Amino acid sequence: MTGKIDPPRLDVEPARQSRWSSLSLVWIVPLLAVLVTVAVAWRTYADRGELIEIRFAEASGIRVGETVLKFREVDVGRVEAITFSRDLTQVIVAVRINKDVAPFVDADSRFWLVQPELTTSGISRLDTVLSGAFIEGLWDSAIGVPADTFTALEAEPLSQAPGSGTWIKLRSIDGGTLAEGAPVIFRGIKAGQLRNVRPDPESSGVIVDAFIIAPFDQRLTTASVFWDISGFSVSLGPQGLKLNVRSLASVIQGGVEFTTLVSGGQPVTTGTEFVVYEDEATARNSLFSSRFQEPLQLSILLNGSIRNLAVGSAVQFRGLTVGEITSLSVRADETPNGELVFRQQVDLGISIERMGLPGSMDETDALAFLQEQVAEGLRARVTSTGLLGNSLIVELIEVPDAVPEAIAMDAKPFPLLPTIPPDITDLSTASNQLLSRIQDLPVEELLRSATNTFDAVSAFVTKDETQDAPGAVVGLVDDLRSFVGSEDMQAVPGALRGTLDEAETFIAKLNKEEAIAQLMTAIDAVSSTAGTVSDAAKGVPDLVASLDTLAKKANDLALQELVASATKTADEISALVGSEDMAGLPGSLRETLGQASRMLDDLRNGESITNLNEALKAARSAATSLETASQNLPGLVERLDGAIAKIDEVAGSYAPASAFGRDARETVRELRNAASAIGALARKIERNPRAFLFGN
Amino acid sequence: MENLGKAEQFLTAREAGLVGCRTCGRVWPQGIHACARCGAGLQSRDLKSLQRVWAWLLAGLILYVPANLFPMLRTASLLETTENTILGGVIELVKHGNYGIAAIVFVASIVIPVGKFLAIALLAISLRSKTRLLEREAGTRLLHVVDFIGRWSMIDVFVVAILATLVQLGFVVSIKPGPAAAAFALSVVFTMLSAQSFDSRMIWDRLDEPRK
Repeated sequence: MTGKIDPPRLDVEPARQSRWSSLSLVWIVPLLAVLVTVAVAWRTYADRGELIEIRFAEASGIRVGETVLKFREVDVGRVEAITFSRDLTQVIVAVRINKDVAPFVDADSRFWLVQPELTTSGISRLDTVLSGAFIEGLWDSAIGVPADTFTALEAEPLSQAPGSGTWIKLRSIDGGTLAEGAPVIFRGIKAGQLRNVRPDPESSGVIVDAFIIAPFDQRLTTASVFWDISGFSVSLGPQGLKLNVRSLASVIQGGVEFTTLVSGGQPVTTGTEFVVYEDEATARNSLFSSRFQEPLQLSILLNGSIRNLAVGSAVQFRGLTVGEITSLSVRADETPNGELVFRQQVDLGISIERMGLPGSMDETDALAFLQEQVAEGLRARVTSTGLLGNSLIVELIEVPDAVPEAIAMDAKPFPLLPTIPPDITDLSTASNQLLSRIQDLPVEELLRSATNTFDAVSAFVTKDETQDAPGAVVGLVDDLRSFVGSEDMQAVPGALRGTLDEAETFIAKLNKEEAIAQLMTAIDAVSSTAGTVSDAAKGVPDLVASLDTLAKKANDLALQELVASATKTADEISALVGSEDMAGLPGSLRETLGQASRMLDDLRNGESITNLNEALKAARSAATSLETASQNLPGLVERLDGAIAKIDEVAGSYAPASAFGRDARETVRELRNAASAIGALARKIERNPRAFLFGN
Repeated sequence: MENLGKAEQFLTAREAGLVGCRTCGRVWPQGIHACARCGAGLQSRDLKSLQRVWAWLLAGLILYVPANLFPMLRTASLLETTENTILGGVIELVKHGNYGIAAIVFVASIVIPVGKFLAIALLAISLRSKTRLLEREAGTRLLHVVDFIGRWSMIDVFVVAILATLVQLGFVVSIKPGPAAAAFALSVVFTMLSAQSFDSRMIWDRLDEPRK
């Protein structure tokens, strides 16, 4: 059916949206991005810090953007730019300092470059080899005058903060031992450092600044003394040899040490000057280091010339150094005669304090005191001291019973002290005396006579005969031994003795009775003696031959055995010679030969001369054979010759038994001496064969 | 071939009274507000999308500035500490002779982001401009290219991340990312979001309009 009504079209309009609703939330993102970016950018810019300029002589190790500025080892800045100064003498480094630190960087700030250092006091800052050099800054917490241009220091400053120490000046004659950076020692502790060695404009030495760290600067007064401790020193003094070395570090790096000797010095302010002495002894003895006391000046006059006095030598009083010689000069004074006499003037500077006088005494009081002392006998004298006694000092000693004298107060330039003669006993004069005494000895004569003796002995020893003598004597000794030891020889004395006894009785009988019959018996006796001797002599060539072989053997024998045999032989010989038989032999021989010659004279006209001739011929042949035999025994021949000579004398002057006996005793004595000489020789050989054979 | 010159005569879904889900693609009739398949919202034309596009773009652009000014990498070696911005890094690489890597970094960190900014700006402007700025498929193609290539800008961030992870040798050498890395990453993300929130259907609407 119809009737469906279409609803009317509605006007549909979309809802009116507000402007903001069409805005999506996503716009927050870019907004945030903007905000964050701007915030970051602003913060980076605001945190940049301040730019300061530091001037360096050269920018070694500084790199833009990398080198940092450190304060107490914390990075507080960075180098931004490096430029040159206008005159190109300096490098300007622009450093940006962190904001929080920047206000403290005021005009008192100091900057320096930190690099690795290799000095005698050690190696430092090796870490900068890896991390690169950096600039270190020092400033305090007080905000002072702001500044933004600085000049860098050469090295780390010593006085980090005010009140941390004192700067003083040290003077030294020779600056070679004062090194930059060397330590100042006080009782073995490092109390400061030396800086800035420079030549002294006023003298020929050097000046160095020393920074003494607190609290050591409180130990420093104007009375302190400084000395150099570098290296080592060896001193030779009255105490002996002394080696001074402080420590191994001081040997290498040097340094100075100080101590305060006397009280009464004022506290030290910045720039106070001190003198650096060579060593501790000099420093301790330097009395005038304290400038608040002037020395008392005196002088003495010395007669004669005394060497080895030097300026600076000590003046001693009761063994203690109280002063020193300040100058030496020569003075010419005119005597009343008009002559000029030259004397040595020695000026002394004496410390009143060191003499034991109260320090408050002034010069006039001290002089008055000395005047009293001089009245009581105080004199000045030059004496020698030291290990070798060659260093001279002036000594003030009290002389008992001295001639009264006084200090000449008016003398120019200084008051004159009376003196006594010097007492210099030094090694040189003592040795001179010794040498003169030695010189007086007759050494040359002694030497001459000794030389002559030695020459004679050597001449004697070098003579061929002497060289041969030992061998000959040894041979002789051996020959004699065997000769003497042969039975024939042993028998001979007995036989000879018997014969000679008979001859004696014959002589007696001859004096008493008719001679012929007894002469016949005498001749018989002589012939029998000759026969015995010839028999003996017959055996002698064999003996001689055996002696020869023996002698050869003896030569082949070792020396010791030789000596032993020689000794034995000598003993035997001496025993033999000392025996009555041998003693009697020459006498008997002599008697026999005398009898023979007398017989010859008596019997010149006799009938039995032919018998006598025969007998004598036999005797002669025996004697010749004996002679030939004994030609091998030169010594014995000599001795026998001597004995025969004596016998001839005796025969020439046939004298009563007493004279004959005397000669015989003489002969025996000679033989005995020979035997003893041989014995001594043998003993010498035994004792020192080498010396005998080869001389000394 | 027969369709040449008849581009304007395609039937759009909007004309057919349908709306397609942008997430899963299921077509629904207009009037339904939520896709039953994937749950995403259904809009025929997202009118606020342009705002989002501009917002993200601006955010990315703003963050691009510190990304270039702040250092990307901090290299702390034994002797020194160096910082490199993106451009500085490129120049260093060229100085060292690594032309390939320098080219990659340059393209990835500078050419592509700047190109993206320009492309998205162009697209966004072309939707509203009186004159036709883009030819038919050029806009769509451009959008696709931007969308695809955007992610590759993260190469630089990856490089920084890998370097920082690998080169950690204590005080000998160590690499740390600088503040620019975060800024750059955010910038890339924002431009990606910007490209993604672009409603490409609006490009087609422009194409449908008669030429003026």
